[in-house]
Amino acid sequence: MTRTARRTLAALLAFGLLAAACGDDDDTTDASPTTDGPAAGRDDDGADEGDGGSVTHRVPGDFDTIQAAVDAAAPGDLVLIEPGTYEEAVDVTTDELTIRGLDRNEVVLDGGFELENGIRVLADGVAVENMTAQNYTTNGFFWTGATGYRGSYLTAYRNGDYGVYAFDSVKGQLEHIYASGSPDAGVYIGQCYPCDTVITDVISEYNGLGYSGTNSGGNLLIVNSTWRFNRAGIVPNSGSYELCYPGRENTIVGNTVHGNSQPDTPAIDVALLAMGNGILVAGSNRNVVERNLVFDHERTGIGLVPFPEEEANDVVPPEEDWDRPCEETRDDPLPDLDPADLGFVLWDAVGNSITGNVVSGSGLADLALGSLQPDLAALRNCFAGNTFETTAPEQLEALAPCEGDPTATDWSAGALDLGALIATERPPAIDYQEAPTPEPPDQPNMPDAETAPAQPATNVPFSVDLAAIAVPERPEGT
Amino acid sequence: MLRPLPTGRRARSWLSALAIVSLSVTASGCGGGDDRSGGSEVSLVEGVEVEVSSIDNTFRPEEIEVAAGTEVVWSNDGRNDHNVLPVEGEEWGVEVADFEPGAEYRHRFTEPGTYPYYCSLHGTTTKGMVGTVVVTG
Repeated sequence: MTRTARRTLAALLAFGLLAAACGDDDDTTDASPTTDGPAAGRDDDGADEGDGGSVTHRVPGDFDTIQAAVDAAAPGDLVLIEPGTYEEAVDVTTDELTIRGLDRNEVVLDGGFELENGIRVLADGVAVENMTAQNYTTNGFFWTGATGYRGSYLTAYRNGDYGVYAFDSVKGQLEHIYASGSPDAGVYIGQCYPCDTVITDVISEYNGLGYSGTNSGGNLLIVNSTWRFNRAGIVPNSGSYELCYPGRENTIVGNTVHGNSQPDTPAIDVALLAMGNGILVAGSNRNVVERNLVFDHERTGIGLVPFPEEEANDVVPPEEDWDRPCEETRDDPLPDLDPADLGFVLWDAVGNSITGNVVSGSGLADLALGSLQPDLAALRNCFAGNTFETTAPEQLEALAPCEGDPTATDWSAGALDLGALIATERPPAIDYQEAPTPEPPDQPNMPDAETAPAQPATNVPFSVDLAAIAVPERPEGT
Repeated sequence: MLRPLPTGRRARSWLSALAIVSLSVTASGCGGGDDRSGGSEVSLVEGVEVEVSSIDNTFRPEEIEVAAGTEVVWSNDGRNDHNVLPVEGEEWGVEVADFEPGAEYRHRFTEPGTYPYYCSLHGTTTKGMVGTVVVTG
């Protein structure tokens, strides 16, 4: 077996299947910031002082660079950025700032393929609004270790790792995001439980993965968004290369997921292997996948598959530990073993609920469940009330109902054909700098960017009426 | 986060994993395990070598205490690029290019003192991915 074939087999095993889907947004959630009054006044430093003591620092009016303005700001202040191209990598270490562009499409932070992050936040309660970050070697917008964060009306284009990235951060809101051209994920949330975060009104396209989340979940809502034309769509997953494993308890509702078989995007190897799937739950647990519109995928629409991690740093925690919060488990010591000794650890997808989705046009199966385990029923995943044409195994909703006893028992009929996947070649990844990622079309601006007061991320996430979310209508022309 | 397939040490293990899989690995590989040591508390280290794991995006343990003469071995056990940079000075540390996933970096601490360090990709000198080596006499 060639190295490529081995990798492909690994991919099959890792992602087992494939999935895909599509749909349209259903803007039922208005999570935009409030805009209740302009700032006024001016302090001795030449910056505007708002009614509540919030100072507005203008760039380039008061400061030549965004970094200088951020460094001068105090908690509660607003950094307001005029249209222009800013060749900066901004670090934010002051809590509760609001950093805002006056025009989302014309305030452009450009890394020139040399700088690492557009805006990196290592502080609590920081909101970043209404701007574009492009051509950074790692991330467009990055929060790490934050309690309270918000990204609103952000465009992330052609960045070398993620478009919008929140790591080890909780109480967040990512809304009105456009992310394209990243080899890993357009939007990524990692290492948090409970995350207490809402992702809504996102368009993520032409990335390796539309959404990826490792070891994240717990009141993490991924709703009302469009994930299309990536190698793979929404991929919650687990692994011991980050803390707080496993991934669990994501709520994925009302998304349009389609055409995630895009062959000409940048892609990390795992995105290549996951290619052709809409919603691929790769070793993540207890997720709710409900009322999504999923169509046109080479492999699976919605697939539940194991993720095999080689040279893992730890074993899968016992299920009774899955309710422990990240702030507690992150201090658990790693095993005193060399990763090579731990070897291969299998993260199965357990206890997921797949209901009320509309799935079509999948090459292998609209709904799929696979594992290296012989007893798939033991994984306690369930499927009910979905609209679909094919499943693997056959009669999946009868084999694994969400209520009542199974009415079918033959898990072998129509089981996933991993061999077919092994033989499937994936188009190679394209360097993110060279990929033909379309220029982002102009995106909507936040309301009243000039006059809205600072609103640090101290009141997020905003509430979501999940019950009001319907399956999206199919977009015109698809 | 999902990262590229590994090279080097991890690649060899990946192939081993495939071999295991081809023999129908079962859930027995997913069990619990309590063979643990280290942790967030300061680790008192005896001997001449101690390992710090650089996962995504945390040093584990974050703080270690070792005797002078101990060699500290940082291993990149994550899927991300990382570096190890001293907060003060340039006498030790490793850049991204020499510390890819699966790689190791070694430095022997001979002088007692406190040596804070960080990964500049995922932290600053005081926040994010930071660590400390305390060397005792």
